[in-house]
Amino acid sequence: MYYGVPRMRWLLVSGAFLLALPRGAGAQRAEEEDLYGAETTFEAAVEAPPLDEDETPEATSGVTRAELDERQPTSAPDALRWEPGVAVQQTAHGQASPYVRGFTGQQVVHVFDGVRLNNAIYRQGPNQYFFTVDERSLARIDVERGSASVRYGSDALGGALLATPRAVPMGEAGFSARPRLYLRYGSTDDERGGRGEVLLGLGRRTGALLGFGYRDVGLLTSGGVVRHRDASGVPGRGEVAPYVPRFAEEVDSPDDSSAWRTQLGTGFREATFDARLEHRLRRTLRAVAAIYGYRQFDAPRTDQCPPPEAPLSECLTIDRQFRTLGYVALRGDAGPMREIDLVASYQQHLERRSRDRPRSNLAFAWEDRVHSLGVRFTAASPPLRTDGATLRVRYGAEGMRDQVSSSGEQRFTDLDRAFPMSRGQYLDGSVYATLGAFAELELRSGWFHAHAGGRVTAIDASAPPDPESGSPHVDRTFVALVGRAGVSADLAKGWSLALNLDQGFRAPNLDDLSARQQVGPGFQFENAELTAERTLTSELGLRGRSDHVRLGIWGFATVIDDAIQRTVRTADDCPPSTPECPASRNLYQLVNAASRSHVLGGEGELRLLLPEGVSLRTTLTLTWGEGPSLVPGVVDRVPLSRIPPPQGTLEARYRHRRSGFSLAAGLRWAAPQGRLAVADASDPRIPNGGTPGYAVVELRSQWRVAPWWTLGLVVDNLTDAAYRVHGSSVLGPGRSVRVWLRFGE
Amino acid sequence: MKSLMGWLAMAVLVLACGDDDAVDSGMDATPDSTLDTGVDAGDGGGDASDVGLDAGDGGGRCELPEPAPVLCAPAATDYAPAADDMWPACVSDEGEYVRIQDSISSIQRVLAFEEIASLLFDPESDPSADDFIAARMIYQEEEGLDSRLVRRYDALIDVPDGTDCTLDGVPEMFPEYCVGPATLQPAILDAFADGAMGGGRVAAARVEAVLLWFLYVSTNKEAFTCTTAAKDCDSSYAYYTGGEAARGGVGLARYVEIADPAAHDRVWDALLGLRCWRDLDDEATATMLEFRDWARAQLDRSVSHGFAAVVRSRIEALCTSEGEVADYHWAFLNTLAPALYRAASAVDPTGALTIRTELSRASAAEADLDAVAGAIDTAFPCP
Repeated sequence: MYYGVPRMRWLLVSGAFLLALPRGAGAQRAEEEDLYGAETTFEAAVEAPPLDEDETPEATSGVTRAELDERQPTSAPDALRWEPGVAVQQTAHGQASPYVRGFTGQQVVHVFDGVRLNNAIYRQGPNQYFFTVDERSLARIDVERGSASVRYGSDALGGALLATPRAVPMGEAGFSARPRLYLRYGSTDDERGGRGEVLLGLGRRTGALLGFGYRDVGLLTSGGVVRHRDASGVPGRGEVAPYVPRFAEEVDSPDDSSAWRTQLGTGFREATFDARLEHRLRRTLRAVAAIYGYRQFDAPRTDQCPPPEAPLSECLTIDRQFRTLGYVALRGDAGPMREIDLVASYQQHLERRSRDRPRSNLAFAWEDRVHSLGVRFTAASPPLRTDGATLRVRYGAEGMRDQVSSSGEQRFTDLDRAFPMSRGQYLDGSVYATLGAFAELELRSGWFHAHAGGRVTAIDASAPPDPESGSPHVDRTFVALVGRAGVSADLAKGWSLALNLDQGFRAPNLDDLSARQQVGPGFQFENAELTAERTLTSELGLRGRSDHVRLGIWGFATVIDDAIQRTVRTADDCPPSTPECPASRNLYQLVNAASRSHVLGGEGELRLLLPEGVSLRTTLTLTWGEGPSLVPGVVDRVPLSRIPPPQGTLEARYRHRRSGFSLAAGLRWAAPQGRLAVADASDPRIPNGGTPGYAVVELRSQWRVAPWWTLGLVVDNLTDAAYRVHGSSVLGPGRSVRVWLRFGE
Repeated sequence: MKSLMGWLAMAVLVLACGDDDAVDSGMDATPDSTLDTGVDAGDGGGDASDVGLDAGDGGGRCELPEPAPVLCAPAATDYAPAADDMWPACVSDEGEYVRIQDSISSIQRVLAFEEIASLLFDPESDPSADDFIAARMIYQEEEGLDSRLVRRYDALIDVPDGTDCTLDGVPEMFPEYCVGPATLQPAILDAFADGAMGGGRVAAARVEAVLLWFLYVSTNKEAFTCTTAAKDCDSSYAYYTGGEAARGGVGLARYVEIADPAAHDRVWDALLGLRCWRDLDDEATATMLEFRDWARAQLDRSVSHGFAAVVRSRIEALCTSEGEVADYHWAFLNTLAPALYRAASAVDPTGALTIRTELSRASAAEADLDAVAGAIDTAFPCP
């Protein structure tokens, strides 16, 4: 249930809880790792405990460090391409945004080691923020699919992405240092980089991890151009290909699109660093202090480098994308409180962009910076056992405050003169504050499990006016109350049926309420009157596991009320003193849909463990979305924007445990997507008629040559297919290899 | 099908050629000097042809020729609202341009032109450096004039298939086709830079010329690409009229209406014809190419005539001015020297060369303005 309370300056927090089942995040499940079996001494030491999918009542899946090492993803979002219910869209080579059950960006919560990453300027639609998590520093990534606002608060409409960093080994006496060096080369974009790290043992109770990573990534080559599905009525380059991306070969072979492979507007440089110190206070309680830094340089936005029809030299570049996260935490059991997780964090996100137009002697530059302070506390009660039943409460509260600075300038490069704009993408001095509390209760009785919970959250958004640009004052308060409930029944040993109802909500953030920006399909301006969007996910799942089989099948239906969507506007609707608004071809504003939207679908994951170290895994994802038409005079119902098409994966793997040699093959496929929203149809990233389907095969191998070094190889896109993930600016890499080396135990 | 004779009668009235009798039944929209009609296109205001003036520093006397008496008749394939012609009934018959899309982004660029005009385009005064900076900021707003001018190509110039002006080096290879990046953009940036350093009214005149040239080329270009993107017909209408209601107009339309009201009227007819074609043919990619070709030809002829009339009127203004005012007009004409070449050479290659050559001279004194005016009259007899 949601209550909008405009003008409320203070935040309401009150307790409200129902019943819930704890997730069992602490449960170890070593046999899970046996599926991919790369647990060296090192992995065994630093692998974080996975989500226990048997104990977790929701639809979840996870990627382990071993799987990451085998697949060699190019980013944290890329690591999720093989997960059911997830599609990974890329607006740029240096950006990627996972779709979870048809939701992405600000509609999915990103969590890093218990710290919420979503901030007040998370952009609508696909965004780049999960890319700023260095997958090489992670132990695993878990995906919770479906609405999950009781646990994660605002934004958890489609689900949650949980990144768990490598833990620090403890337990050895004295001082020890274990260095490790990892190097990788990728031929498709001439990627060269790696990571160095050292694990420090500082006595039995203290350990540390220091890491530094760097990579230099060049232009990305594809398997060729992706053509329109419907080539009629295509302006510009006609039937050949969309204007996004452009290719380096166009200069020398303007008439021969078969030669076009090297995508302009790609490549970037990246540096990461992390330092983690853990100290065991008691056997079950530890203190953590950590800092994780991400620095990305010179990452062009592919669909704007150049913009469609513009000279090839024009480019919008993310010059700096810096994220720094520091936190201290207390974790473990203490007295009557179990699974304590008390975290105090500080984050800073800096984004500096420039649009260069050399033929015009012109450049624009913008800088947005967000400072986020947060405190989060969660804990659980000890199990309370009564006549065959076990009862447990899990509870928590958190607060977060984001402060935004934003500016922009226009520069005449021939005159070397710069002129500040009256406002940046956001309103300088904006503040977004969140307080929330939740409680959940679990009941177990023999074959029957039940859980339920509730949360209350209050959010205050404020932004100063900017009369020069006609930007209104924002002063909004949102209060939301959400709940969840579910039951599951054990059908047989290892097999269960689960039914869940979960509510989600997303209060409009400062991007929705105050941002003006050129987005993929056109110019989008703010709406300070938006209300929160709410979801209710109903899901039914069958899960099972035996010695040789792991199965998870889920069907879901998500109902969205007051969905925040783009609607088409005319020049008359543009805010005053914003000439770039009426001058843009397509104009959009975010509005709350007047009637319900729906996302329906299902996911399946099957793993077979065969003799002789052979394993098979396949996944299937189906998503269908529809909402009310926001364009007067158009049909009543229209597809939701950028819903991924049906897609799936198939992997086969062989591992010789004694030698450490493994060989794997993987297939990813997606059907065509021709169901387009109104904004999709004018989006140059989407070919006319929709995105064609594709199938991509890759081979992987690794060999532990000696206990202290391992060699790995991935051959990507074996058939050199030209393909595009629906909604992406970037085409998938062509046939290529990634070679990696790891030194150190 | 409407009555052909009625259409013709109305057209003759509109053109105000001063002769109600002679009607040419050949619908070629070409001059017919055998008709016994006196057309005094220059009869409006001062008679510039009689004024010999010092154009700028040392300019010679003007002896602009009287335009030959011509009775203009529309082509049989031309469109005019409410006329009985070869066009079926369509959305334009009410005489108003009915937009394909509610919002036409090109309008904002024409409004930006008018903002710049109010800052710079006054032959009687020198804009300040700050005026030029302010004008350039308007010119280079995001999605503004600059963003389109830098990519503008002249769709009516023949080039090899696949010629893409966005690629480096291509504008230099095909400067007439890639007129935006090859000619207009360097010229306007140079003018803005000169203006910011005290270039005064001469720099302002160059800005004015470039932007008018851009609006002229854009009107035709958008009509051309309307085949595959229907909304581009809206842009064609907007680049000429600025989105004004019927028979009105700002931007290029404002200039043409002053220089040659009949031409302005015919451009309006042509734009309505363009829209009529896209009303009759609303496929994503047009299929009724005969209507398209009629509309395109009508638009090119009328807007080129109107643009030529603007140039001719500026020659007249040059002939009646002196000193810095004359410098302003000469800078305007000098910048526009190649602008009429494509349209003029289709009718009179020699005259087209004359226009381009004479207006490219180093100074007005060296230019044979009389010859230019004569060549314009020959190449653009009827809108």
